[in-house]
Amino acid sequence: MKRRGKRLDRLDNHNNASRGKFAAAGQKVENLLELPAGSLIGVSRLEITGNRQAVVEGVRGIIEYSEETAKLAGRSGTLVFRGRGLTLSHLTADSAVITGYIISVEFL
Amino acid sequence: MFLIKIIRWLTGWAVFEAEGGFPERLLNLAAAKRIRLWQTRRRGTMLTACCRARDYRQLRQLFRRTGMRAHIIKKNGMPFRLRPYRHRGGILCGALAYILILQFFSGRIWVVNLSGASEENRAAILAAMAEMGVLVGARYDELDLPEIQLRALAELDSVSWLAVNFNASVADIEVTEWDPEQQPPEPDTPSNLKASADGVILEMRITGGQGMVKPGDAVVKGMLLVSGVVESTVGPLLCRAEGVVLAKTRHVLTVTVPLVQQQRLPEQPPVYRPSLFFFGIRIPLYTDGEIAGDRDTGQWEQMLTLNRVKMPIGVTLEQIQPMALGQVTYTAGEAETLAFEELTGLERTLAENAEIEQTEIKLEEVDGCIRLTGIYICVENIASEEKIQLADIDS
Repeated sequence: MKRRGKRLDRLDNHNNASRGKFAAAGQKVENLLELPAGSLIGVSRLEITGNRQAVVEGVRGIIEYSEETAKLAGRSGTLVFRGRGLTLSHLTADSAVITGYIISVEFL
Repeated sequence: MFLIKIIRWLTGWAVFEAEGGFPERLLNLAAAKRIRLWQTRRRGTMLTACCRARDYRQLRQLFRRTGMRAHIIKKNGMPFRLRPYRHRGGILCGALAYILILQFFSGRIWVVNLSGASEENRAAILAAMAEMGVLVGARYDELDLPEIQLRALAELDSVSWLAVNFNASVADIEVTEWDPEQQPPEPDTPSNLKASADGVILEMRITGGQGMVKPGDAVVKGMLLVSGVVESTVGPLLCRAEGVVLAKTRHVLTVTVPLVQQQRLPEQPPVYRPSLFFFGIRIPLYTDGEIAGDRDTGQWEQMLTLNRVKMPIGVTLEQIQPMALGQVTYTAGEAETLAFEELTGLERTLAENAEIEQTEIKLEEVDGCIRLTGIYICVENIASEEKIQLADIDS
């Protein structure tokens, strides 16, 4: 668990560094052209329906998963869902759907 | 979502349980290898998830790599449902036959319904439509309905309107027959009323034209009763003569029945020929050939019915009665009975258009025949419309 977590953290750090160069420029272009936020810079998109379902796009991996916690590695950081009876309804290479009783969402 | 469920059912899916090792790593590796997992749950150390049946083989490698022990707890979907029948070729053949039969017969006409036609024209209309392709067993997607409707109207004199509609494999032919009495009058066409029979005028009710006779006058057939040429202050005007002219007429009906007659009589016992009827194809269930000579034929059919709809499958039975000319001798009493029956039929026809006031029947035997003569005094409308030919007036 620890070894895999470190690998993902290293990957995040590398991406954060490289993204830093383009993020500012991308954001400027977005503002200039009035494009939807995040359309040019690669960030995760999160859509929550009530507190029962969350659709996350831009997922790069699962860091931790249990009935109470789902920790996902996203493009712009780590998302932590806490709740009860959390289920990964769908999981693909870059998206996940979490259902269950969601109590909180954290961005780390 | 429903579509996805159908696809999953068609391709088959499995529910597995895995424990030990690194569940998160398993999920990440599965996602990286594009193995779809759904309904993934964690209960303590146990991970439960669903995957496509064909992906489970790949997942086994991942279980080994992540140090997990896994086993399938449920398999479902069409491949698993069909698996018990994989050695039963008959079921596959039956399914294929079902599809082929459905494909073949669903595009064909099963039933032809005709509505709006009188009994005497029914057979002729159905025969004409069958000649144009609207018959049991024909493919309805190959029919050019507008052209068929136009051709049918041109060929069938008794029909004034015709439509063919398809309701699945049922062809509904709706017709309206031509009825001259229901045709709207032509008020602009000048016409005369002439006498259709000899008689004495009793009453005249003229609504158009100028009367040329009066009650009490004796008229002969063809005589002008009401003229369409009306005299006016500006000269003669042409109009349509309309009205009812009631007259007392005399009709004589004669029926002659010879005591010795040449008649067509049954020569042998009838021959019955059954055939199997299947989608317009008649398969004979007899082996003897054509029966030559004079014969009467009749046909009965017993078709399969389903929910009161006649199916194009059944048995037809043709009765062939060989006939030959033979001599029949009637007694005077029998001949009289036949003559009275025939005269009654003629009288009934006469009574359709006239009111019979007085009847006189004479019976006599002349030259080996029974002759029945009926003299009828009737009251009837003898006005018969005849258009005025303008060319005749000009000349």
